[in-house]
Amino acid sequence: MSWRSLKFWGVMLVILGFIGLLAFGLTSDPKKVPSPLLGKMAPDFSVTSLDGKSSLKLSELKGIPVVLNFWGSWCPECTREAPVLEAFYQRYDKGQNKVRVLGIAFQDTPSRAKAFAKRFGKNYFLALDDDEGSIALNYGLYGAPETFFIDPKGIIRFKQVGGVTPDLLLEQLESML
Amino acid sequence: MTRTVTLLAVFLLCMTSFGWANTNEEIETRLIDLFNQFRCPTCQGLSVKDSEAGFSVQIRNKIEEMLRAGASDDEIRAYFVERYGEWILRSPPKEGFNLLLWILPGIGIFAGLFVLLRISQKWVQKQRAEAREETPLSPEEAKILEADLTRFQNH
Repeated sequence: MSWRSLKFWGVMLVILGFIGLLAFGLTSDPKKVPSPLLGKMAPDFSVTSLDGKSSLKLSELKGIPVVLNFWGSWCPECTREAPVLEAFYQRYDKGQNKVRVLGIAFQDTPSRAKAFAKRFGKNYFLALDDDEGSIALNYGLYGAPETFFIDPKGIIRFKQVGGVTPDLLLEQLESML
Repeated sequence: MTRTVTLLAVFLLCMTSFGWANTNEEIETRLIDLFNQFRCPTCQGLSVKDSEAGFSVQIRNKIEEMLRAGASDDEIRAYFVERYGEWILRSPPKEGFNLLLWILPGIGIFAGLFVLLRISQKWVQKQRAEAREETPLSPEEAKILEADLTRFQNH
């Protein structure tokens, strides 16, 4: 290969590299970078249920997979996934005790969260994050809905940004059992 | 004696107030600097300092809480990176693979300047060479020159 064509291909390589980087930057969503919490112990928290009747400490649920869903009454996508999560709860949590489904509302008020839960017939354990958003910040949330799949050892195995689907819930449950 | 003690007490009070004001100012400066280092999770291209989104407000409150509890800037950055990843920082840390992001623009500028220098040197050399090249006179030009020189000799 002559020096001239070597130079040509060198320049082409640099240009194509820059175009590739630009295309990657423009087409990838920076918010969908893998969570640094994957493979780590789920941050522990204690909450009182939205109806005030019971309380829960996450670390006490070890031994059973947990589907931890973050939601808000202000979130449009949460309305679409609410019936999916409720059906999943009815079948695998309440029905078979294979999993615990938890819903933590954040940046919300008790009255709005309760109204939302009532409207969509949510029966699984629901609670409200504190005003400082301690749980949301501890889980590195970007928005709602986001769902964490925590295995029986308390390790976060998967994080879903956006609404959950029946296929995703079943696939993740299968991988955690 | 009482007067000296009173003066000393006033002096100490002034110094304490001055020190307190200075500490507060230092904390404010650190807070603003830290707020500016973190990206608002729900906005595009804004720092938590410039955003009023719910997450930005909560992140600002958390930073202030940690700072007032005595956490260092590095500890505060580490807290958020541990949960959000390096994405949450507006400037990637100058270490490991990220160093490339800091070095590459500099290398690019120097490489560009070097290429420009080489091209301009080649242009100058080419023009000089062209100027040096001797083009022979055409027969007509030679005749005119000879006639002109003869006029000098005959003068």
